[in-house]
Amino acid sequence: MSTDAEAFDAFVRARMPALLRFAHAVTGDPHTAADLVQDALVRTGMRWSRLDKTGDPEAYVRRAILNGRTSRWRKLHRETLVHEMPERMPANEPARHDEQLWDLLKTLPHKQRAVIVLRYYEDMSEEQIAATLGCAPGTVKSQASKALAKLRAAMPDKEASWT
Amino acid sequence: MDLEQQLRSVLTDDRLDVHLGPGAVQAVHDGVRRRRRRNAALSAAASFVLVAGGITTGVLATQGGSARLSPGPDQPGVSRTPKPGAVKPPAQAPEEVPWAALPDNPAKPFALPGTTPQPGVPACNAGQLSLTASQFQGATGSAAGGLTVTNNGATCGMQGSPQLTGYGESDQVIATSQGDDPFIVHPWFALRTGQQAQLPVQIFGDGSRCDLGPVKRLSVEVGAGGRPLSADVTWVDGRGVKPRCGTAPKSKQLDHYIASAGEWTRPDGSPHLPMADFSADSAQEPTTAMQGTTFRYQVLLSTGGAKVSPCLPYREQIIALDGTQTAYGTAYFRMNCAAMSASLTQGYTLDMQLALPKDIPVGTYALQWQTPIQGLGTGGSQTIQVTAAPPPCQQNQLDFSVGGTAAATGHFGQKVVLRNTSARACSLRGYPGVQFVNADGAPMRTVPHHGASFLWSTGSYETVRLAPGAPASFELGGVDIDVNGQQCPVASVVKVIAPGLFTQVPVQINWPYCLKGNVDVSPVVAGVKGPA
Repeated sequence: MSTDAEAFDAFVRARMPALLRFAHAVTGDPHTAADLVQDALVRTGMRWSRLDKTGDPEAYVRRAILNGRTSRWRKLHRETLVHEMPERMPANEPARHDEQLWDLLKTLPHKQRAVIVLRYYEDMSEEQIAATLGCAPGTVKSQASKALAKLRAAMPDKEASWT
Repeated sequence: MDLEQQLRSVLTDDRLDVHLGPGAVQAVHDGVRRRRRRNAALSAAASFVLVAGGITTGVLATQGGSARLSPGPDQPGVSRTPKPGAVKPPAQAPEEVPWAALPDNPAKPFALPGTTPQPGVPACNAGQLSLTASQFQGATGSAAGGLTVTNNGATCGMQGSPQLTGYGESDQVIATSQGDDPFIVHPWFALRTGQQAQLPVQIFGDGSRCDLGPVKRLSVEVGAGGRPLSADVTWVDGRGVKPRCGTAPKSKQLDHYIASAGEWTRPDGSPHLPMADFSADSAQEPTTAMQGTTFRYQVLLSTGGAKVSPCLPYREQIIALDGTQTAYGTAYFRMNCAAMSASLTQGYTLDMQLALPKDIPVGTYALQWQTPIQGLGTGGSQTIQVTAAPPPCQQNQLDFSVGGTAAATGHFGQKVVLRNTSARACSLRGYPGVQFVNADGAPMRTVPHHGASFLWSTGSYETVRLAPGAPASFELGGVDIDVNGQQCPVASVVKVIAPGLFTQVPVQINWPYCLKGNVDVSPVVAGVKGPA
């Protein structure tokens, strides 16, 4: 393997699990997440030499995941059919006390969900989130506050019963 | 625990872990290699080689409603290039091409070189062809393979994207394809005696029940009729073809798989249509849009430096995601090719807009954008929520007042403001009625003209939502010196009828009444923008 290929391989091995989690959080669906990450990493591999030198490959992958789109066909059909997110994967997972919040998260618009995930899972600053999403820091702020407001409003009688 | 802590806990617990298959890392490398090889190939489509003689390669990309030969939407270049600021842009920023209303007539077939049958060569019919199938293998979310026909008769013409039917273990139909899209053009080629043509095929099961079993046989209809041709199909393990299934909620699962055919080509992927290796992706789609409004979005067109020639038409529409797949707002335009620079750019950012009908049902939709070249289209990357427009404004909800004026070298503009004085939101849509009145209270001949004027550029209108207290406005445009150079008399009042209503409301103005009462009238727009 060339140095480039080695570096890319190391990157994939190191970051793939985290990227999958990220994609899962953003899409709410592990299958879609796997497809998106695979696709985004292939894309990244295609321009690795440039990205590795000039850019931030991880931000690029995240961006590709967020922009990531399977074909129109699959989207239409699949999203038609699973438009309401599958309630959850068939069983064997005990109900959790924060199940509600997870379900609510999945109802947020794409961008708001992305902001929340980047902020509370990736611990990114507003500037970093803005760079990843390709929008203004102000937008990040407003999307985050909208999302939080929505979550707060939607949580039925909540915090007490959750703690 | 507060909400922020809750979020951290939810997002970091192990439910988000996605099981990493043993081959996951290798699959990425394979994907890169495949794509490299594909891009390096002189011919865009040459990388799809049927599984034959133990040589496997190629993965189908799907787009444009059916499987197609690669390269698909993932050409390197403009597509998905992050915006500056996200990552240092690896390529130059694509040139932005403003939207222009250039209607295209879809009834007139798009004359793309390579898509017209050669006179004197009959279309191939089923009787002269024999069919074989490649082994199927997994592609992203689908089972992908190919069908090959061999011409046992005289030279004939192949073209198009055929209907497919898949049969299960007891020979019942378990997979069907959608009809061919009449907007898409397909390459035509002559198939000589003994020559072969191939068709990429994908079978999707994500939305389908899991108890359908494997597809054992595929049949395909060939253009010139006759019995459909049929071939047994197998998975790489020798069993039938069973795609990933059951991702959708049980109540919405289909009772069949979806088969998807690409288009017939020669085994080397030829003939190649011009621009078939372009790719497109959408951006800046809104998440919500109100009934009757026009929303803007962008299409990132990656050309790899080639010219858009002939200038491409496109179709845009939004598709209901309610299971009916109904299309709304379908419109056909041509790209604004005059605004595309001739310089060697890798692609363009095409500004787009789509007008939602005023009566489109409220619900969730996906945007579709498609050129006549299969695979050169985009859509469904996100959903758009169509929201309800408030009820039409009633007379007693509206207050009329005079707005600002504008003047420019002999031209004169007057704004009239309509304000919702009620406590409920309401909507206005269309043109107001206007009637000039002189100082003595006598009506003056008034000839309104709808469309563009020196003040505004379009005659199209949208549904305007007026929140309680919010204004909307329209403009009158004319001249302030008559054609003969004479001063014009003054119209001191204009009586206004709001769109959809019947009552004339007088508004005091000081209008130079020229051109025998000919006046440009704009549609009602939100707010009081422009010359105020």
